[in-house]
Amino acid sequence: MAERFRRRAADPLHWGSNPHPGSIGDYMGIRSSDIKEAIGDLIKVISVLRKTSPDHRMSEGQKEEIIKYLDSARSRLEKVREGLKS
Amino acid sequence: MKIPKERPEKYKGLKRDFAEEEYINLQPIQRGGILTEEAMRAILEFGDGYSTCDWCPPKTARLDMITSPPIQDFYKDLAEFLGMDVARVVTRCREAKFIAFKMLGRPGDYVVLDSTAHYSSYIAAELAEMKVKEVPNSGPPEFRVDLNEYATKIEEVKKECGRLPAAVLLTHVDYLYGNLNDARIVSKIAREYGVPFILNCAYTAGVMPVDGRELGADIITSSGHKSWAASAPTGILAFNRSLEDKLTARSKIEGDLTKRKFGAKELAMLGCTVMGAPLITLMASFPEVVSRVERWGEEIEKVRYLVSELERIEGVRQLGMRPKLHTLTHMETEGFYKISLKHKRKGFFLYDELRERKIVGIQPGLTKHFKFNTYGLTWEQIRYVRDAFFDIAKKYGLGIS
Repeated sequence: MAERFRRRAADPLHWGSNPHPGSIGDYMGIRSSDIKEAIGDLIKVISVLRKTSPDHRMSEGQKEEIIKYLDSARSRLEKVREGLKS
Repeated sequence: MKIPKERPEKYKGLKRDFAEEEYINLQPIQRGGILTEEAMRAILEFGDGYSTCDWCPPKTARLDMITSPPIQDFYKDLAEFLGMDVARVVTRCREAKFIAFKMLGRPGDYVVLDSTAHYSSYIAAELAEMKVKEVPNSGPPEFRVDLNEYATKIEEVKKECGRLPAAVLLTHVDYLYGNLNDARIVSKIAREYGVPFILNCAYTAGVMPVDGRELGADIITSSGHKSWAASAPTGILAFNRSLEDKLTARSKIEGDLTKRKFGAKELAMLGCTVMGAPLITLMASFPEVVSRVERWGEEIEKVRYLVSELERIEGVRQLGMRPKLHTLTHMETEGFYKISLKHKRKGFFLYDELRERKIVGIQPGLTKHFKFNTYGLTWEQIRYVRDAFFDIAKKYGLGIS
């Protein structure tokens, strides 16, 4: 059984989908994809800042966009935090 | 050899002085290489060394054979997007030119090129042990390359060595004045002589529409980090099927002891070329690149607007062909130069003033002439740049019409 899990964990085809608690990307309920998605949200914030540099005078739409991405990042990171407790 | 423990500490937490989020960067070579969101995200996935090679097929272990991530498809899409038959991603545009020269000619052969070509075009020819014959330009203020002179230069080569040049190279847009050359004139001449025509699209493909088939190019070279929103180093070599055998010739070497052979490897690519972050950012930015070239018209509107506004400042005029057909721009700024003669910071005053206003990319120390590139700036940013120049001009008493 242990050998089967080891092989499965080493196979990139099963990365991220292996229910075995010791498998890559799913340790103690933490999903690395949540962290990457949160970083993706923050990259979108950076992208808006790049369009509005250097004075960052933003339209209401741009401000709303940034708030949306920040909220999304926060909720994804909250999931990671909750995962640590599980 | 051990180095002091504290010395490598400086390599931690590397930060750029001029983050794109904080400054407007007008550096002529940087505007087209700014990463897209998708590219930044892709680095998280594929920034690790050979991570693009997880699924390298063992029997045909070659970059262009990898289907996950879809490198094989990307090469095909890249070729099609450029209106060519085959594409390879190489380390830089200059390597693409070197590969073309090396595989098309032999030592002592000539390459005919425009006199506004980038220095790397010359060095690529030198490394391939070739000579260059330059096509003249009109000089100031337009620096227009006399494209019909390609025929004269080909004739000169023919007369001098009894054979045709190995290739003809035209810089689609030159790095000095941002002049857009009509490739069709040169491709017609090259075709008449039966000489392969290389179009150097370092500043064009990836930011503006380029169709190699329509322009009559046999080979297109380009730069991912200059014009395709990719990390450095990335170059593109795209070519017609008729040159495939020459450019992708396979390795023939055999170990004298082991008898090892590497017949799957493409000789001029030295096997696999660019993997990891440069390739993956090029791929990830591709959807945006495909769409952004359609917005080229607006980029031209923006640069023409900024040029016309800056020319309102006393002693400022645009060099190169008019009206602007590319966002890379060369300005002659006699007014600012006169100020620099009396300023305690001399030529650096303009750089200081701009930097204070969060604008960078104009070469420090230059006031008589300088270059900039407006590619990808928003209208608000364009107006911000104009206002900054007006502000500096007023501060030093230069008239604005």
